[in-house]
Amino acid sequence: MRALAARGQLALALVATLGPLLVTSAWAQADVAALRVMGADASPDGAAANATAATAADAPVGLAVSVDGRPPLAATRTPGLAPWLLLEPGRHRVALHDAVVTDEGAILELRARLALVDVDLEPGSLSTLVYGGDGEATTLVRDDLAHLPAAGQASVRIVHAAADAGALTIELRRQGPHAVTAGPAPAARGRDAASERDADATPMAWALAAHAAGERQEVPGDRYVLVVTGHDTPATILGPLELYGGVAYTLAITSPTPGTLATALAIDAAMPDPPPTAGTASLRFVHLSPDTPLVDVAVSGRPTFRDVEFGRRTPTVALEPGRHEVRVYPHRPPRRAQEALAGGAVTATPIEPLVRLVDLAAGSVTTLVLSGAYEPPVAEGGRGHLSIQVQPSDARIVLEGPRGYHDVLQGDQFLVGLEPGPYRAEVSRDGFVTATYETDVAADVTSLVTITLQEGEEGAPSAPLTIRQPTWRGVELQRYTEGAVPLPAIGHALVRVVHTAATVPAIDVDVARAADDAEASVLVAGLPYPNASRYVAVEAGDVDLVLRVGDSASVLHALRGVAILPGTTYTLFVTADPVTNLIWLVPLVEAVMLMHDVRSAPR
Amino acid sequence: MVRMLSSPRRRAFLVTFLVVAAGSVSALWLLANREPVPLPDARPSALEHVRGRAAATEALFVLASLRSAIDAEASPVANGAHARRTARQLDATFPRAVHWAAFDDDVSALRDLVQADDLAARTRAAELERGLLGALR
Repeated sequence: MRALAARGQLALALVATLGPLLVTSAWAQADVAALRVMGADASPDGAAANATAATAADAPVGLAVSVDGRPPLAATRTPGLAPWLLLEPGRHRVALHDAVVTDEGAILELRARLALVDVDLEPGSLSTLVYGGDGEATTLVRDDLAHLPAAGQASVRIVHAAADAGALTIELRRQGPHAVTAGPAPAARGRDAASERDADATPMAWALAAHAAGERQEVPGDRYVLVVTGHDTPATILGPLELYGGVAYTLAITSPTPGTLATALAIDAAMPDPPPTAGTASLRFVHLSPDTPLVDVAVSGRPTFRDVEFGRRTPTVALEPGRHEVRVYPHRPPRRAQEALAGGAVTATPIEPLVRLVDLAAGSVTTLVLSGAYEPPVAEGGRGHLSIQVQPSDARIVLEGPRGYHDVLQGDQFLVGLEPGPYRAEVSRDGFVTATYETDVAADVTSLVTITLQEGEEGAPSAPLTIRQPTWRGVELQRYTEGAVPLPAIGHALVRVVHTAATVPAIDVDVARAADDAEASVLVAGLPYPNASRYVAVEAGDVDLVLRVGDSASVLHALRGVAILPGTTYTLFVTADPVTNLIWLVPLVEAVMLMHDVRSAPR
Repeated sequence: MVRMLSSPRRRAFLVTFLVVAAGSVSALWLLANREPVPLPDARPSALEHVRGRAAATEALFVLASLRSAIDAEASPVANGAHARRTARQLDATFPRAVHWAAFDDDVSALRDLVQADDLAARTRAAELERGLLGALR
């Protein structure tokens, strides 16, 4: 026993020290397969009976997993899920041990072996080995989740891992207001309209042989019971189970002791903010207009979101499908309008809401994005002027200013009617050192800038010869609707980019591995405002993200060494400050596959 | 029926039969209508785990943005709007992320640094990134 305990401690130490290092390297390789173990409680007349008296009373029972004769790499309390193991594709011998395991999955004591099984893993596959809890029986099932269920729906896969139970008929029965019986499914009565519409008179049913997995099915998010019937055994009711919309589950029927049935439930993937009710439409709101104050949002006359500030998204709410009027109320009127009126007779201006009609389909998730500029453009009379004198006189000037102002000029300039704000001039010429200068342009004032370049080796930068005029676009509500959120393949994330910066032209987004010198690949090309790209697979790891003006080398924004996590679906909103042109990326995690506790087997 | 009740043995048999029948029916009814066995319900906490993980993932992005900006000499301290918006983004993601990762950390400390000391903010952001990554992996 001591020897076993010592092995457990050694395994724990190995996992703690090698785990993170191995994870990083292993995820970077596509030729891996992932395996996890889902465990029911072990039979009490089995190995657990061998536990010492000291640990038997309060021992947190668990399951430790070892592969190919190595010390255990992962463990879980039972019933539960052990972390994913990343393995080389091919055949592996997996041993499951009874163990004393902490809540965090640390192995305190290793006991007798419960099962030994050979598994064949295909490259890039995700598989779950279900331990039924009695004897040596295990069931291997392949995970093939490509997307989350539709909004409000839960996705369920049933695995029959109760080896001694023979073939079973398993019904997933939605629990109504009546007592659940093993007889015919009760008719849904006394439900609200939405529930009535969703109520499934025919319960979902699977006929499964032992060690088989049923087809994944979508059911409305709700409370359920399982009615499990054998060939010559009465129905057993297991539950209740709360199945949430927006979540994908694996549900294993296990047999902790001979003749008894139990279940183990695992979440495979989920929306962080699942829509609450099936059969309804879901709506969320993202505030991405940098100069707009806090806003309140009313949907069809009902206050729905309050005090939403820039960069924040609201929770998802469920609405009746159909047409809705969305009104966005800023907390104050534009400052520029107030300033203009300050000298006049009018002292207060009404706050005009932004109004949009949106059609919401059942089962869809709609994101409303507030973008554009809240403050109106500066009136002609409120503009300023800028005089630039350069030496040598044919030097090139790249001038950038508020609201996406970007101009490429040559020689001395006198620019009139510029919007007040910060301006940045980059002056260059062959044979001279490039110089940059920043100045503020104020209303009704001419700012003077004189730049003399020093002779030197540095040549002119290859700035693009594109000219952009100042742009202004009022505050707008952009709408993005989707059905099922896609999920990434093993070792990857899915990323999409939504361009919500009105003053920024079409963008390209490059992605490169942070540690490598390899060339960047184009994640998104020529994405104009206001649009969303497709979801693109990105290998997980630390990456550099670079936003460029479309079809040019002009870098708008660079994010260095950001961690892209496997099993995660991201939306990145691109927004820009209308005055400073500072670009912001606002991330939103759309889906999480529960692959977080990943351990790699040493190769 | 009267003849049947006239004999004490028959009466006893009838009573026994009725008692057994009633008991059987009751047992069957109870069996059919028994309360389901409650299962260990970890789903709400599992979903809370998903939310916390998502918040931590988003917080990583905000921290990387802050670190990249300071590395590119776009000082949040010098640019008040930058500092304010970074602070707001931290407010939006960090409390849940820090709670999920069980960090003994005060979000306001980093928020204050962002507006006061670029280098210190960068150092702290990098530390928090490492911590969150450790929790996420």
